[in-house]
Amino acid sequence: MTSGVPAAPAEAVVQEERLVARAAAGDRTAFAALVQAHQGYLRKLLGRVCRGDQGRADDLAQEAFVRAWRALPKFRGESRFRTWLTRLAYSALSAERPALPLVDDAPPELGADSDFAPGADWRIDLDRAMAGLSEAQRHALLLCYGADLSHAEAAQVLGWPLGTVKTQVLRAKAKLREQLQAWENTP
Amino acid sequence: MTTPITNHDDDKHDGALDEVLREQLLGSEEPADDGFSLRVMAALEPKGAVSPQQRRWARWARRAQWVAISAAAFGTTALVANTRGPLDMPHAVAAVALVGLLVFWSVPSRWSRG
Repeated sequence: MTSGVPAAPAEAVVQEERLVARAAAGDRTAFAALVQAHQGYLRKLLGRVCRGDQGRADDLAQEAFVRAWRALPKFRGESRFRTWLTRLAYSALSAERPALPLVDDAPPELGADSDFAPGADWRIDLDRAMAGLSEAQRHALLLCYGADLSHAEAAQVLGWPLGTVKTQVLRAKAKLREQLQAWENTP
Repeated sequence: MTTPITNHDDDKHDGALDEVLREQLLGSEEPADDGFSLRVMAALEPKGAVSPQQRRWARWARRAQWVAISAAAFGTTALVANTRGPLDMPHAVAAVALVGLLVFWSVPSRWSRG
């Protein structure tokens, strides 16, 4: 990926910091503003994580916000609020399904060339190809591309070393490329 | 709070796939609120709410207070009932102390709760 995480305008960052500080002190109005600002992002991401089960995604998102409310006094602001919230959502997900997400140890499949050119049906193809990824690869891709987190932030959320996230993203992309090219070359 | 780190892939060849992945995973609409925020706010417990453990302690403290009130009441009654004639000084002091404790423990005001 050549483009990075779009930097939020400084004013918005400062405003969010103020909201976080007020919410940490018990201000429900400030927390409501944070919920409204981030619910769309979190529910959309969790919808993808839960493979389209939006009801379950909403339950997880709600649990993440409830945990955030409890833990806000301990939030030191070392990461973005959004990253921290995503981490809480993943904690809720792990509590529900302790086996998730797993890091797979399959050898990297990096043989495919990078002359991928999306065809007309690439959306459907990509969905199909993503279904073939391992859980670890899917989570790494979803966080780095679907949540627009940096690799470091995705590593924080998943609790993996940074190198592992990068490897999983590379493997996932290699697999997707291979799959999509194979389908493209099929007569 | 830190600003976001921009360390996405540095591989230059994946432009098209990156673009497609971004478009596919990031491009779709976010779900509408539809009362979700309200449900979250309703599910929050108030800050500074009394925890179950604190509630248990308060229950035990209330019981202990009632025991102390009852003991003081019995003590005062016994003291006054067993005395024939006028109270001598130690008995009078003890009776006043017990009545004082009785009043202190049983009057529900701020000073009696500490």
